Amino acid sequence: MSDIPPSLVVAEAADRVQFDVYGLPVRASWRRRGLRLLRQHPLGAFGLFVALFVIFLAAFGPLLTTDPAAVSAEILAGPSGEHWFGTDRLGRDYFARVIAGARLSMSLALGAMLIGVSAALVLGMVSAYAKGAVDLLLQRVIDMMLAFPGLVLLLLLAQVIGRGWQSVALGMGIIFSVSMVRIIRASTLSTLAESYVEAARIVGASPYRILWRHVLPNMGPPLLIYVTTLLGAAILFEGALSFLGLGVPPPEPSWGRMLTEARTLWKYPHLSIFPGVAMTIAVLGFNLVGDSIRDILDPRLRGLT
Amino acid sequence: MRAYVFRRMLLLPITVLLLSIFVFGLIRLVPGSVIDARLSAGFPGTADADDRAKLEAHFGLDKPVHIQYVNWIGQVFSGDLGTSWLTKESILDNFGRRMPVTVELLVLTLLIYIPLGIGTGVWSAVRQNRADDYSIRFVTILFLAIPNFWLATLVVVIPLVLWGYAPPLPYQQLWEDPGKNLIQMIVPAVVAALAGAAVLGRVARSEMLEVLRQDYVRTAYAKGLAARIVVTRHALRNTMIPLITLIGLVFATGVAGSVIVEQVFAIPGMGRYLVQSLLTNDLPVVQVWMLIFGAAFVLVNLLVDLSYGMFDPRIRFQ
Repeated sequence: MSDIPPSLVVAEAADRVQFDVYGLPVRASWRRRGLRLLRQHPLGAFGLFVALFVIFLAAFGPLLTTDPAAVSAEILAGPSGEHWFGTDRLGRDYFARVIAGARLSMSLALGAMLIGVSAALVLGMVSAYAKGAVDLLLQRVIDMMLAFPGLVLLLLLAQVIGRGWQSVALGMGIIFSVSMVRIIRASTLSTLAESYVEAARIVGASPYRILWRHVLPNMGPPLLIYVTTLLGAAILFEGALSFLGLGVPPPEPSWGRMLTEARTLWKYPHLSIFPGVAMTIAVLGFNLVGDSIRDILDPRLRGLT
Repeated sequence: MRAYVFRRMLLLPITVLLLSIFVFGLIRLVPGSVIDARLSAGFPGTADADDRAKLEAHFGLDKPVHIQYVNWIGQVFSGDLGTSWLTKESILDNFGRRMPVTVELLVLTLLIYIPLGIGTGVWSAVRQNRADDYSIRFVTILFLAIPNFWLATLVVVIPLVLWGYAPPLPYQQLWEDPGKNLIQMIVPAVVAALAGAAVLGRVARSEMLEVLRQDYVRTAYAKGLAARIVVTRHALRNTMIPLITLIGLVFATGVAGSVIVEQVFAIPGMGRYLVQSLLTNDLPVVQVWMLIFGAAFVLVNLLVDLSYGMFDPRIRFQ
């Protein structure tokens, strides 16, 4: 390869680019561009695979396993052909429980994300558009909430809102929206300064239409970076909350609570290993996707990480 | 700079006051009251409206909310943090006993956290795309994903299963037996530090990579300076500002980490007490604890802002 003149290499690469009748390069199809992205970011592709696998297990896993709540006489058995991950102190199949834990974790993470993103979008865009007193008040409230470590505030919110999975999702959603409002507000402010927004206002577009049609589409990239990273964080938050006894109550199988219960049964290490590994793999998958998305969308970092 | 410092100092009490209103308001929203718990604890069903009114008067809950707030904040500023609803113990006494424990844990955590994070990040950047860079990045990504409470559990369980070893209990105060105390504290501190160090390391690496591409770094190499000098004196100094911004975050993750490890390692610190009080709805304790955590965080962020001047003369002379 090394003795081929550079000009020829360029020509070879140009071979694959197709041109239309005007001599302009044709944009590759969605599929081809997607495949190219995956090839360029092998770690991200691996993460995407893991994340999709976890989501698949969360959605369909419980249909494929035995009943996670079914007790049996075979208590605290180690992993075997019949019980892949062994059984817990009530003789429940641990494999089925770990899979059911994935369902709880993912529904909480996705629910929290949905709540967090929509609240952050509304608050951030309104705050930036309204300016003045509304903006000031909202931002000071956000400041107050940012003054607490996320986990500590989440503990208190869990106590205020309650313990059902919807409540936990709402609590995490609030924490997430707090961390996103500022970014949304900042991007809204910079978008509002664009001349096309001014043009829209001149032709008489309503504030609602300006925010919906002209500002919202610009929020995609900054949000996307946050969303995947926060999905991983949501799994960790749920785990910590359940681990401290403030999460979704039993009998719902949760990875965090399984780990707390495993602490007193330390003679049976399979109880603490499997939920922990499951959590690590799930978080790792989402983090890797988040990293790659940041690389792709934030050109400033391109080639650095 | 002096005027700026003065202005920020002036804002501090106002921020803390707003914080107290926020905490107080949030606490009032917690459903289920201590009165119900007290009444049902005796002989369920025997409590009448009279008992209820007496207990409400006892806890000061019969007054309007804003009066309750003023009473509370007045007490706090005169040094009386109130008493626990559950144990009837003075919160101030409890605070005096638990605060040194958590501060020690936090200091140990940060002492491991910051050098480890910045050290690995810089090393990784200097050796970009070599074997050690790849291994550091792999370990970093892994530690970001491992839940710290699981790691803490494993650290307790694995020595127990393999060698039957358990760290000495009960908790020993630092001034009573420093050696034993350090044995108890060092492992929790490492566990609490690892995840944060991974975050810090990643940012340190990307900042360092950016700085290492600057012209003045090339100049420094060109005039024959040793790589060690270029990295520590020229490059590292300029990565400090973005890294210092992270110290507030570092503090927050440190506090969150200490809540978790105090629980797992049975360390009688503030985080453990906060969780217990939350679980038992001991609201006066939660209220004070949240205020202290929040105020500490605001203070740390102020110190961070003020420390920029130390690393960047342009900010100092503005």
